[in-house]
Amino acid sequence: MAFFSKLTKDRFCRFRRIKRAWYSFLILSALFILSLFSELICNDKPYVLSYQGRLYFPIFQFYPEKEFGGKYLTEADYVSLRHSSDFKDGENWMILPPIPHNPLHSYIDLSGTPPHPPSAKHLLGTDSSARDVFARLLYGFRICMLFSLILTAISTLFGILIGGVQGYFGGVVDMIMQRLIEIWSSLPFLYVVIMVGTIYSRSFMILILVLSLFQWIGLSYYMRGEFLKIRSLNYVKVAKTMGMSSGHILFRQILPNGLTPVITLLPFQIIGGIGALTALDFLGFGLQPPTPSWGELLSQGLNHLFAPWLAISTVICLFTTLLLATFIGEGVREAFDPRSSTD
Amino acid sequence: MDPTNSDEISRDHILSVIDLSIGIGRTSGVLQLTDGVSFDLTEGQIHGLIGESGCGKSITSLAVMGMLPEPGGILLSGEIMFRGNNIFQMDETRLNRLRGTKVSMIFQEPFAAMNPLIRIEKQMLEIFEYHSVDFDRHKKIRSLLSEVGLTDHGRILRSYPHELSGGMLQRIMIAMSLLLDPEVLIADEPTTALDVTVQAQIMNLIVRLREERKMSVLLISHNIGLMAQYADCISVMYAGQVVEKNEIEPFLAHPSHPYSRGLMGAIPRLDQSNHPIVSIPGQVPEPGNYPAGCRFRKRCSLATEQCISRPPKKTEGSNGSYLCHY
Repeated sequence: MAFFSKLTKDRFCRFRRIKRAWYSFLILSALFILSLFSELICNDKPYVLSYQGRLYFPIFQFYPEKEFGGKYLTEADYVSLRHSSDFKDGENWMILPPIPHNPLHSYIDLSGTPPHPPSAKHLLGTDSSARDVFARLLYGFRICMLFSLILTAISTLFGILIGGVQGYFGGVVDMIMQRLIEIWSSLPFLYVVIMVGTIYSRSFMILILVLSLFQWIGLSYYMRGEFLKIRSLNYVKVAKTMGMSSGHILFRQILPNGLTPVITLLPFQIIGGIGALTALDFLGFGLQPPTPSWGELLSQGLNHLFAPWLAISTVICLFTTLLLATFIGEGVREAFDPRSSTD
Repeated sequence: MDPTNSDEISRDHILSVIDLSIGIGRTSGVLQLTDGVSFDLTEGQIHGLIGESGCGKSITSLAVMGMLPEPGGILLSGEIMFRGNNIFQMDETRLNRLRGTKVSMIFQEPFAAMNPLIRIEKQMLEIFEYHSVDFDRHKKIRSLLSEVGLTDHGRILRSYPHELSGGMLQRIMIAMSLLLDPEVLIADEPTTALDVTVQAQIMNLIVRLREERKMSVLLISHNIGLMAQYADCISVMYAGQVVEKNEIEPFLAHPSHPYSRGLMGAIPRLDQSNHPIVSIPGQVPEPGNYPAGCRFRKRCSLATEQCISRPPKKTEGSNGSYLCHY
């Protein structure tokens, strides 16, 4: 496979040798993988629950309230169950995740008015709706990363496709497409987001769709240049003189050689995605509340300046994530720098 | 062979370029790059195409493969006949079948002619994917590598292009171009990017292969010494036109066109210590900026009134043909 050629392996080794980037990559990937299992880390449902001699696994399975002596068929409320005298009196027990909070649960029975300052029970305090900040940060991180990764994947695909077509065919095709892209990129992005979000719901997929309509443009410029350059190289001419099809030339000869800008830009695209989602959430045009989100926490922090734990914890999380991603991006760029790959 | 007996010649002509004019579409109009280029390739012969950079040599050679300059290349007039079929009337499928199998090409810079991401073996095998062949592919590759003078096949085939030297790559390039046993080999400055010692090896290799395989070679170069040594016939190109065409010996003895004489005068000679190297003043005019009348007149010491007033007609002499008033 061309994607795992020796050159690629060399580049990977070089990337590993750049310690800062490599550790940033490990930390960020570990955090992301960890966040995929947020339900097991941070949840108000217990892993295992023993009720009247029977074992239950609420995280993995749905149990109605009736099961635990309630009246309804809706999901049991394990927080109130835990505190109910009925539960405490019997031979019942439960094993809770390390952080026993649900990001959507409002702790309205806490003393004082929300947002509550950090305490032993809520390590980072609660937000203005009395929800646990740590839980919201964790789930917000997962949404942020997923959003950004999906967005990057879609916009990269579009960017390669459109830039590649422009570069490969050149001439009139290129000219017309370039003008269309210029018109398209001058659309006011924020208004489009607001309008589409108002007409349809502001759901995860709609937001990704709208953002990816604009995100590919930058990359397509790079791909266009790359394809234009490689198309005129001799090995493409050789392939032509050997009677190879244009499909082969496009995908086997040009594309693998033109992927360098894609890979070097990838971490920065991810950073852009995180930034975009946070900004939209901050402005209130992002994901529908009560979805846990960093942008929303930031705007709460701004509205509740007397509760600095909101803004500080969010800013630290955002800053760390973006910093790690930037380090990765730097490392990748250095590892892929063609000027250092002559050896 | 008697060059005046045209019937005799045309039977042996494997490839004929007839009155080829290629232009390129610009917003300001069509820019003509070659003007009425004609020459013939005889079976088993090396035909040299010589001229300074920018004379249209490479454009002509790519046209033989059915490729026009991109973007915007236009065929203005003329045809290229390969065994009686006009290349420009073939569709893409037939052209792709012709490329590599009947006509193949080696390029100037071997480093740039290989995909840097693919191993040599894979690059060679990929050629077969587009042409059905009935021989053992791996065996063929190895026998060709021996034929071009390479040993240690295993290591070479496992290598990436950047791990090999220029001379090796050019040999591999030649082996690659011969994979499908072409009848015509176009060598576009095959030795320009190589060391002098390797140059001779590569040229001897091409000559030997031509003899063994009865292959025709279109040798493109700006090195007249190379031509003198290896070519059988020669066409001199200047500013998009073939200005002189002849067999090599009479050409070397009596170059007819002033430009040919200029090229000959510009060769450094070891046998005559006092022989001055004469350069041709000026530069090749840019396409679209050709002077009226004779295109060479601004650099020609013989130019007179009639060179300005009208373009020269082709003069057929006993010494081939040339494009000059004198």
